[in-house]
Amino acid sequence: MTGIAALLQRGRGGLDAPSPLEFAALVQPASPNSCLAAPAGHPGPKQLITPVLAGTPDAVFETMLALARDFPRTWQLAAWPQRRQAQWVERSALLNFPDIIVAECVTTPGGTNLFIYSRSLMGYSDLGANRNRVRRWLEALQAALPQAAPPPSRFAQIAVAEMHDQNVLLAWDDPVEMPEITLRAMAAGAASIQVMTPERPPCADGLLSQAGARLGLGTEAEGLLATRATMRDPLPPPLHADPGAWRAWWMRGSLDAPDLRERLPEVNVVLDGADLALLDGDPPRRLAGLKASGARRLVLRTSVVPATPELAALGFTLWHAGELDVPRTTILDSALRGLGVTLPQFERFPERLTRDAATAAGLEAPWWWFMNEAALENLLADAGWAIQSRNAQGHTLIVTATC
Amino acid sequence: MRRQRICLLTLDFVGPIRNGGMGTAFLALAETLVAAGHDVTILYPAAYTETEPVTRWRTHYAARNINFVSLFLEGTEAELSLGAYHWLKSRDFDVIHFHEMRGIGYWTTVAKRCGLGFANTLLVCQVHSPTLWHFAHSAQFLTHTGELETDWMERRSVERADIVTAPSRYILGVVGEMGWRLPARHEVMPNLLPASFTSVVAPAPGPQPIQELVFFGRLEERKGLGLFCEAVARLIRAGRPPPRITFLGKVGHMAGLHALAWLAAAAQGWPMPWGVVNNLDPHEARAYLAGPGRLAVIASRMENAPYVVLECLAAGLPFLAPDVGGIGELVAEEDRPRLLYPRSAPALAQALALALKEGAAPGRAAIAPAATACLWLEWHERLVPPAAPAVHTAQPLVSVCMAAFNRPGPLAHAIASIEAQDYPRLELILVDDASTAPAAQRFHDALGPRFASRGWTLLRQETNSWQGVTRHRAVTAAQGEFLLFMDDDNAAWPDEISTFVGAAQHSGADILTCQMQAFRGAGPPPRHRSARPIGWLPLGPCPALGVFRNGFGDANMFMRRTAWDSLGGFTLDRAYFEDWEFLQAATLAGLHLECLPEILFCYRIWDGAQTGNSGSAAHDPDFLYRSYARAIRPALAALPEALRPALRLAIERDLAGQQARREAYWAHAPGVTADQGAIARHPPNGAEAMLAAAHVALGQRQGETARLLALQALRIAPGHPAAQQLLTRIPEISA
Repeated sequence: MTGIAALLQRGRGGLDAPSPLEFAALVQPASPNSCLAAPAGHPGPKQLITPVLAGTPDAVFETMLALARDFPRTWQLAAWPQRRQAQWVERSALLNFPDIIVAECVTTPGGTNLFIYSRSLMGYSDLGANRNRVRRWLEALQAALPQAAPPPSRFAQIAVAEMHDQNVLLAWDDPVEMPEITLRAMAAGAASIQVMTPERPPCADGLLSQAGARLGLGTEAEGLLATRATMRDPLPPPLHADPGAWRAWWMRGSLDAPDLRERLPEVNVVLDGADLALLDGDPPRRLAGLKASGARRLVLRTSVVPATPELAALGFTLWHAGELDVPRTTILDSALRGLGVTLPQFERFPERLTRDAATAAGLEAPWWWFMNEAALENLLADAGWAIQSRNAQGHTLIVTATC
Repeated sequence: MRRQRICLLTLDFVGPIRNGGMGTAFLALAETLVAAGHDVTILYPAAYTETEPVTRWRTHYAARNINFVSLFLEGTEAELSLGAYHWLKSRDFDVIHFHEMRGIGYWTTVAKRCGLGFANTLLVCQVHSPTLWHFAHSAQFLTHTGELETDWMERRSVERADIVTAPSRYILGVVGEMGWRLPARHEVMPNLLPASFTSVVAPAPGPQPIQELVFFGRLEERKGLGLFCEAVARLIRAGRPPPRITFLGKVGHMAGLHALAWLAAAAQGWPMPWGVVNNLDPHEARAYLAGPGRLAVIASRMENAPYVVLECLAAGLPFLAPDVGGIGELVAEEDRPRLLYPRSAPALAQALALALKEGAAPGRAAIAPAATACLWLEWHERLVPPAAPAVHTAQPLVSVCMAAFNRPGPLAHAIASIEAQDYPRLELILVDDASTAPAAQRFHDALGPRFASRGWTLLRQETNSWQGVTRHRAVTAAQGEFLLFMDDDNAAWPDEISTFVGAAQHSGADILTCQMQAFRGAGPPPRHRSARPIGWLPLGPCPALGVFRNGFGDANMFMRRTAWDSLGGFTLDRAYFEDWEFLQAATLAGLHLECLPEILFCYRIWDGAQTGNSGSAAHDPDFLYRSYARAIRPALAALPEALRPALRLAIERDLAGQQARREAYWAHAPGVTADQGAIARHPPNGAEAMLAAAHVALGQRQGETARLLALQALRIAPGHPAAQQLLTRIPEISA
């Protein structure tokens, strides 16, 4: 019956009475005016794959219904709560064309999932309108659902294992990792935790709140912000102030400060995930600064180059990008490719890389230092750190060290 | 051979620094010593690099058996020197070589002089390029007190070294004429050639025809670019133009211009082609000069012992050089008339004409490179370890003199820090400067039994009389051979007094100051000693610097009682800078003052205080004027009356500049508010300023004041429309 009547009426008017859709038996029209998003395991044709969603199927279904109520020019046609399916019509703004949307929440081996099917009732080609709609609905649904807590990174796992009852300093700048490891450390029973970097993002407190929500550690985040929000931090004091004075959870400060230990609370463990390979400066200076924090234990994450006979033949231990030549670059490139690492800088600057050249070429985070494990051990030893454990995965090495 | 542990302390070294003669000299020395089996460490304190990060050079030199150490420091020369000292004091070297330039060895020499370390180490200062000598021959004026600081550190590091060496007799003569007192052992030790130097050409026998003159050096006045061009112009005018000219060196500046732009004008009308080669490293430059028919021409205004000459001689390259500075000493005596010219355009033109006509032959070095290496190795072999210093076992009584006023909390920390001293024979004389706060009075009352049990003295002033008077009163009551002055809000580290006593006994100094660790607020002092001084780094008894600012040290000073008595103590003005005035007077009176490179106390900073960061009455211009006038009294008194206005001009022009720029103490003055700015942007006696003040008053709901000010504006400018309008609106706005 769908035809002119559907076009001439508003809302639900002029449409056939809806009935539940069997997705397992769905056959899409040959015309390019529909789009199906389905779980990865769905055997039939599909244009998009829907992700596993946080929450139970009922909760996701309720969220979907609530969301759709606020979508523009969209009217619910029917809902079958027992099978968690609903149908809607969305009409175009200018010509009032009706498109039908069907969504159903299902349980799959991976968790809660969803079918969304959108099709046009008029015309041959939809010019991508249905695909865009399905994407838009999926994004809205994912944003509205509570996020599943992601598993901790390997670095976070190793670091947090060191933190129970310890006073911890996080000394590198990563807007995702800092809040996350801070909260995980608190949850793991760290005695105290302090983040310190030369600069901090203006939204540091917001990042902590978001991490709290993401990790299910909202209470810890709120507790920390209630006492040590960064917005209360006026400026890094030019001089040491009273010991015990209030400090922001993410404070500004430099590892080079001569009175570093006065600026910081007491610290037993320091974490650095900045990656020495990316350091545009002197690694020993950074390692010495970490030691000057007063910590007795270090957890460090950095990139290392695997040992190969070709590199050994060139006497490789520690090279700066500025001292490379074509033979060195070729062999380094080969060694790193063996680990699945491809550095764009090698292609563009096979001989040597300078800061000016990197800036001019727009290279993002080039490797400045190429070191093997022995070189890293020497650098640490020069700064007074002795490696206690190593955990390697690909080119990333996480070491714990003591002094 | 006795294997020695040798450290070369330098701010110039091949690798992080691209082209430095001193860096080349230190590298060559390191290579020679390593080749002979010595254990060599390069201490490069800075993080500064002109090439790759410093860490890259550590690996580079490790492969050459040279231990290259960086401290990655940034800051002034004094800070770098201090960092170097702190690293060195915990090591045990037989010999430490350092250059005088930028005073990198300064604090190490102070420490040795004061018995803080290096008892078994010989300190050898190499004179290469004193800053004021360099300025004088670069036509460069002094512009900053930091240059006085550098000059002082260079001078003192030479004077306090165990041995001074220099690559030329000339430069030793220069520093002698500059008034530097060289230690008894000072000698000429020629520069060595680095291992990377390789002769690029076998010297051809006899003179070779010259087809190309090569100006060799940075393209700038100091290297004689102007002189060279003038000599060439003379050749052209004489009808003997050279076939070709090349300028081999980096392009610098001439007469405020890019040297290439300057050269384009200077060479206008030259009949021969000329070019510039500015991309070669030293080795490539030598290879260029070795090309057939080329003559290297050096035209520098002044040189000590330049590597360009040394390398031309060693490589067998023909050259001409001016007979200035130490250049002549590098050339074999019999070759000097042929290779050296009196530095003038006519003389250079004449020498060039002769070379173009008759050809040029290479010269011979005064000392062959191999002989120089032997000289250095034998020199080290003959070194005798320093004599063991005298051992002082006496423990003289030290009187800590402290005045207090209304600060019981900080005072408690100050007293506790004296009680925690590791030196046994001391007394504390505390003078309460008529504290008015009840808490302070109660605290002072409670101190009585505590002081009595220790035999310490507690005194009270009847009326508040400031530190000058209270310190005099404390000294009057003091029994000690030594006095330590201390503020009631500072805190001593436990080794302060023992360090001062040891340094005074070792050096014989009359007065000692030290480094400090500033901290802020009313709470307890820091728990950990800072790695470096915070807030201020005094240098020591440099009277020239002391004319402009206090480089001596804080009032927290240690002195022999005799020194206090001989100078009559602090003056009694109610103004700042009693320490600055006293220490300058002591220095000019010939007392022996040392500033130690150790942090021995914590200095508390209060907001609003002398060194705080907010405004207070103490930053009143009149108060500051009186304070500075006090500080410069000793320097003025040391000059003949006729010259004093000139010194005042020099000092006060500097101060007026600081005031105008709101620098130094004036930076702490309160900021200008928007209201103040609105008034101050008009001429002070005009109607507009008066009217702006009326508007401000009105904004503060002072209607009558606004009316009076507006009326005054009308008197100044009758009929002023804005003033009339304001007067009509005042009742309405005020309401």
